Amino acid sequence: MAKGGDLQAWFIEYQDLDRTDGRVVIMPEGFEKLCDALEFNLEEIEPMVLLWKLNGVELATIEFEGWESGMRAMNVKDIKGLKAAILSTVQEFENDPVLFKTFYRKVFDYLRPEQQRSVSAEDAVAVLPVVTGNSWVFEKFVKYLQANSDSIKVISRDQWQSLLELSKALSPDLSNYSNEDAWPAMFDGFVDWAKNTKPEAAK
Amino acid sequence: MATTRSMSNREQEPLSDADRIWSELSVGVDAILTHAEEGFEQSLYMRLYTGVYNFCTSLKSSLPGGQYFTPGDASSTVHGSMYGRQLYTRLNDHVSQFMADVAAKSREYSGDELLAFYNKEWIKYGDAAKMIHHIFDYLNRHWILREQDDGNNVCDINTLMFRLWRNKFFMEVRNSLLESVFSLMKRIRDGQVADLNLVKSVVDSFVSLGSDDMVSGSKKMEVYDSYFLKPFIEGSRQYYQAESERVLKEGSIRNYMIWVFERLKEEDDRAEMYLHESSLREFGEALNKVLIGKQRANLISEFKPMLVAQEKEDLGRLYELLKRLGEVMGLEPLRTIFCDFVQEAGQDAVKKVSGNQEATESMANKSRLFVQALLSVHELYAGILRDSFKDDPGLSKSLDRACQGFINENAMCKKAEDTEADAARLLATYCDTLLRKGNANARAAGEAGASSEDNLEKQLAQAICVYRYLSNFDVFHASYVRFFARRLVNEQSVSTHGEETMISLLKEVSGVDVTSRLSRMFSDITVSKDKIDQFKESTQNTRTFDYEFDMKVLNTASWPFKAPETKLKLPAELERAVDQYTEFFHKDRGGRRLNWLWQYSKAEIRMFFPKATGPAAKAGYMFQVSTFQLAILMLFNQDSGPGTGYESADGPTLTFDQIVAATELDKDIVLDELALFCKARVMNSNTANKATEKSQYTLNAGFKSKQMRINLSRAKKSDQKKEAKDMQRAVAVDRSASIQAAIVRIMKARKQLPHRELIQATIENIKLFHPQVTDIKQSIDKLIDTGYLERDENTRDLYKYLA
Repeated sequence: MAKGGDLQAWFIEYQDLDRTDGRVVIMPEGFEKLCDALEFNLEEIEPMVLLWKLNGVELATIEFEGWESGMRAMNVKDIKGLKAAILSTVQEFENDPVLFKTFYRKVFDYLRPEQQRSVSAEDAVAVLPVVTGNSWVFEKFVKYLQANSDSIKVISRDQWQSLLELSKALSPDLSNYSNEDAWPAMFDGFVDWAKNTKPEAAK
Repeated sequence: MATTRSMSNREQEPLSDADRIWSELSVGVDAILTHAEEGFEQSLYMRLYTGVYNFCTSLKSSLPGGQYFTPGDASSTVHGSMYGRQLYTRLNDHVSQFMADVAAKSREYSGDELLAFYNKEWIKYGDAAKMIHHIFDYLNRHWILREQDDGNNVCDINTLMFRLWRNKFFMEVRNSLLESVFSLMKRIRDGQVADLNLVKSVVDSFVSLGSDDMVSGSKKMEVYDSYFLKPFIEGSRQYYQAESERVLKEGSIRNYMIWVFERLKEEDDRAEMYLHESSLREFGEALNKVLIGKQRANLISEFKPMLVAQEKEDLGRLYELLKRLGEVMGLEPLRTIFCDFVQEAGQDAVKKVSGNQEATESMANKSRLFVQALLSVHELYAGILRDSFKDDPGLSKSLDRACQGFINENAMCKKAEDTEADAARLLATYCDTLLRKGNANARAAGEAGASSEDNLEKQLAQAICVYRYLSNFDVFHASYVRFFARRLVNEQSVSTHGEETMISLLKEVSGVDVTSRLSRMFSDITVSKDKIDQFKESTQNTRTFDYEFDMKVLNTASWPFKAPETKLKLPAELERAVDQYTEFFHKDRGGRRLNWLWQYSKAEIRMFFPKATGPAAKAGYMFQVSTFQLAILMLFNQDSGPGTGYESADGPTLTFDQIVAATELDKDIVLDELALFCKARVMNSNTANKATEKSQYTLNAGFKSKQMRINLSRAKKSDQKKEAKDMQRAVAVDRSASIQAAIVRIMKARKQLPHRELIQATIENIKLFHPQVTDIKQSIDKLIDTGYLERDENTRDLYKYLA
């Protein structure tokens, strides 16, 4: 258990000390350990939110500056406080779409390999359900990616971001979507596919 | 005898003076009224003028108190006004009576005689009025003017005269006048002879009679409009209503049209002679309505049958008639029918041709039939547009719309992505058949007697005619440039002038951006010719090879060629030439790299077959081969030739693998060529003359052919298919680039734009093809991804330009 008030010491509990490149980070194993301590399930949203709140630089990678400023911003001194803060943020997402949007957009950057502009469809398929659990549009979209894994290899930032907007705008019977609207071209294919594969949805 | 004047006498004098003066005046006025045409002596004129003056000025009158004043006194306006008014009234009454008498006289006449009488009186009266107006000048300038300044309703003498004519004569007689005019018009319309001038003068007098308004200087047309024009138009309308019913009953609608056409022309010509010019339009419209408007539906339904039967004269008449009904009522329906009709005709023509299966086997034939079908339809209806519709702009647009429709989408060219069946590609193929050597039949289809150069120019012009209607210009150019490149490198152009003509025709329509590439290709060839000459000269004594070597150096940027997709180990003999030329080239042009396009290069070799007989034994056979073929054949050439012992054997036997290893060519290519050689009996394989990878190959020593020159290099079908696919890909890539460039251009200028407007602007901005909305969306996506554009945070469908 970290001693209250000493963020640095707390950090060190999870820090990757085997590094030779001089970086001061919490890397995947440390991160897992932290999530364990917090009783967070790696297959659910909390670890991602944790990463975000602690200004993570990549997946499961947290640097000390981010750790420190994140903890201070949340006003957290110990593991209990941290857990509470994260859980409350997740709660807040329900009521604060702007907050969620910021988080959601950041997730894209976590998934993105450093040199590339886009995220692999595979990664999107893995992470989207975690981050957007109960939204039917995302569910359908993930299925769409899976069904077209030969032809759709990447998701661009614009597609990722627009997907969130689509989930808010699209009606369950898919009737309010028009190819002439300002959606990314890929969504045309998605909506067409959706119309053809789930007739019960179209009332 | 002198009379002593007492006061009482003086009171009597003014009255009698007035009467005296008046009676003189009235005699004069009568004389003028009745004999104005005869003219008068100056003296009479002066006397009357003075009479007026005296009446107004020198008559004295007395006032209470024994004073009396002369009107000349400025302060005695009351006095002057009394006499002015008196004179005015007397004249008014006198002329009134005169007019009433004239009116009574007129009742003796009717018909043409009445018109003549009225005409005569009118002319006379005009002169008289003028004269009287001048004689009463003093009154005009003084009393009348003063009254008008005071705002009283008093008009000058001339106006008064015409008022009196109108009120006392014209109003009495106008109905009879009109009747006479109508009866005369009817006689003229029925074809009888009558004097139109009588009508003209009646009309003129109607115009001159103006309105009640005296203040304005110009004549108002009220009298003319309500008393003449309206009844006249109504009368004409009734006349033609009855006539048209008669003609329709008696004959066909075609006859009716001819009749209407003639009658309208007559009316038009006549109307200018007697109607006031302001009425021509209203009159014309009334006639149009009763003669054409009422039959509009019937006339319009004749349009299509006329088009079917190509009846140009009837079409011309119909057009002129409906044109009179205006753009919306008359010509709009014609435009729609014409457009649909030409569309259908075009579609049918292409359908007929596309059913002809064997003829459409080769692309060349297919393209020729296609283009000729298009041209025949276009020529036919352009001819009708020119001859019958006088190049009417609205109908011209209809023709264009129809052509755009049937040229781009028809039985041969579906909208699908199959660019083999694209109108643009077919047209480019057609142009190739015109411009390439060895296509005599294409050009023979021109006019007999015309030189083939003229023929060619005419056919190219026709091709351009079709070109204008394409929706996929970029596909045409991608095709055309590939055909052009082939013609140039293979030296297959039938005429340089023809090629240049085509380029300048294309430039006229699509601008120099599109054709500059073609011109550059041309100049590459010219330059290469010079270079090869230079090369030959400079290596005159140092040449390392002993055969004819020709080479064309092409600028990579302009030509649609890529480096060969297979490796090739050059035969040693050929390598010598390549090396020497490369050396020359680098000396001449510096460090640019030469990419040898072996897949387009050809060779001629003379082959001596050991068991040949006759002339072939001595001279051998001349083969035209591709470079790949050359490489393979040369392998069989080692240490061979007459006198080297070759005669005794068939030469070397090589396995497939050996050949592949030696030439370093792709296996598929080698197999294809070997199969060709076997089929042509140039080679034998040990597997029943089929070519396989396991076979062994030898030259066919006993090769025989009737021809001394044999061409083995032909375009492979698989090559063609591959090239078509390459072109398709290139077009798609170019399109994507064009769309992106257009979007960037637009957004740079507008800074931000909503989605729909961006789509619209992009479509309008691109002239070479019709971009699909999907493709534009994809380009937008790409530009967002690469950071040129972004979506506005709050308004999803607004794009912003990122500098």
